[in-house]
Amino acid sequence: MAEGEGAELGGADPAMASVATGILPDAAVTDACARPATRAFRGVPRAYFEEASQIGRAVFAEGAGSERVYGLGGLRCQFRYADRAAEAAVHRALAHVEISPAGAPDLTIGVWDEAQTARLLPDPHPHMLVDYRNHCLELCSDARYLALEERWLGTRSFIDRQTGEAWYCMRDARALPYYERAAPLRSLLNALLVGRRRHLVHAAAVGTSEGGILLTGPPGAGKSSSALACLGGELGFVADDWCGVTAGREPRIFSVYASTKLRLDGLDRFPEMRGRIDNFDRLDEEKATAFLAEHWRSGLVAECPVKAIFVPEVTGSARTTVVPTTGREAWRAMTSWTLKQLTGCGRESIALLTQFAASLPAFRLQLGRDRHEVRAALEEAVARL
Amino acid sequence: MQPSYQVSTGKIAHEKIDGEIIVIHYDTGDYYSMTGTAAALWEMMMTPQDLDRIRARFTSWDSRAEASVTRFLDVLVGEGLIHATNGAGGAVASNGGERLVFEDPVIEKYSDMKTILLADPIHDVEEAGWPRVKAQS
Repeated sequence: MAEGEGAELGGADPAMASVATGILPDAAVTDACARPATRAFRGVPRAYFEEASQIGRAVFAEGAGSERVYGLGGLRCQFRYADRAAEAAVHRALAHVEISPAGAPDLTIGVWDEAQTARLLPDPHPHMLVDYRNHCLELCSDARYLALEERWLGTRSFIDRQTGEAWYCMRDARALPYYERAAPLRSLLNALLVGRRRHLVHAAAVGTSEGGILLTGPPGAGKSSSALACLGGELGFVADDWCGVTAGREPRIFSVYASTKLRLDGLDRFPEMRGRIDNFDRLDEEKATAFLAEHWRSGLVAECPVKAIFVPEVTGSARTTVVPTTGREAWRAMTSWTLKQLTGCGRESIALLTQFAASLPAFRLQLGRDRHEVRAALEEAVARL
Repeated sequence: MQPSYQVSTGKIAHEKIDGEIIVIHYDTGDYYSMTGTAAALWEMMMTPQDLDRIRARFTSWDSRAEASVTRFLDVLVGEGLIHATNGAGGAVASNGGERLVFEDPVIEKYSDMKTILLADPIHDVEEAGWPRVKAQS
């Protein structure tokens, strides 16, 4: 079957009628969400998790390191850094959402660098490794434990839902890939957020405290350039590549990472970014990465209600236009690219993302060449929706 | 007693998006789209519905409409989206009372996100427990 084409079942007449109907009861979604995130295994090697937990506790029992609390979607997320290298690798992308440490955290993550602490998590048993969704996701999990072995990042992480413990361990923090530094702990954070009716989505976002727009679609669709086009204008920057969403009757978006990644041609379109690129000496191998909180702190928005989902596309034409599209297109764009790139998502994620998309109008943002028109189109959309 | 039909909530997620019902089957990775009469029937089947109750919701019902709905229900059962029981379809639909103009129900099936939506790689452990993994059938 060709991508995106549906097959009609049952040989019925293709005629369709528009019929006003009621709203599905929440119970339909709640039922799906009550299930474990995954049933990859119906039993897990308890010994592995017990050993890993002991190591994690030992790292932080030594008392060194630092603690920071980040406000993510209304949650107080405490990060305990065991060493400076771990903090340096993770904190920059999250610095804009750091809040006062006073008060009990909603969740706590221990972060350490094996190269600094010499505390190594045990190697996973070969049976713990599962590859799926076209990338090397390696996991082992049940209703209590979730473990992620992301070898391409050089990281291991796991959660014990019963004790509330979560750990993120880097083989060598200084060797962490640039894209992980720009959006660290994505999979682990998401696994902790999803049980709290929040999720990370592969999307950019802009807005004000009154309302914002989520921009989702495949890489190269124009999400980053649309968000960057708004810098300095009426709309604040919420996210570039990964945005937090809160599902419910009043869906919201929230900033997690204040970083942006641009291809070289993007630097031509946004020359003001040139002096703010963090990895200018490695652009032959890496996208140009900037940490926006260090340059435009006042232009960042931490959280806002969301008014619509936009699916951008580069048209090459002169004008930028906004046209309605189907909710299914927006749902498909957001869900497919999120699940493809985020490890450890299960049924709970699919149900939550679907519910979030269902609650919002959807539009296609046909991007023209003039970045000022893109900004104007988004500002007008936020004002009118 | 005629069968009643009800949405099988255990293996699916479903939402109404812009007037269109989207149903995702977790076990197959397929997703489905329904609008119009099909969407109305789907929403009715949030509670058990037999053919008498379905018939009562529509104007201009005839034998052709009944055959069309029966075929539609068979497809949904075959795809694992609803299940038939012998219980009475006694519950009143949440939006009961409003009579609808009948048109043939249409459901479209999409498989282009199969590898993405298959969220659960089945990897069962044998009765003896970890680490004895069941042989793949």
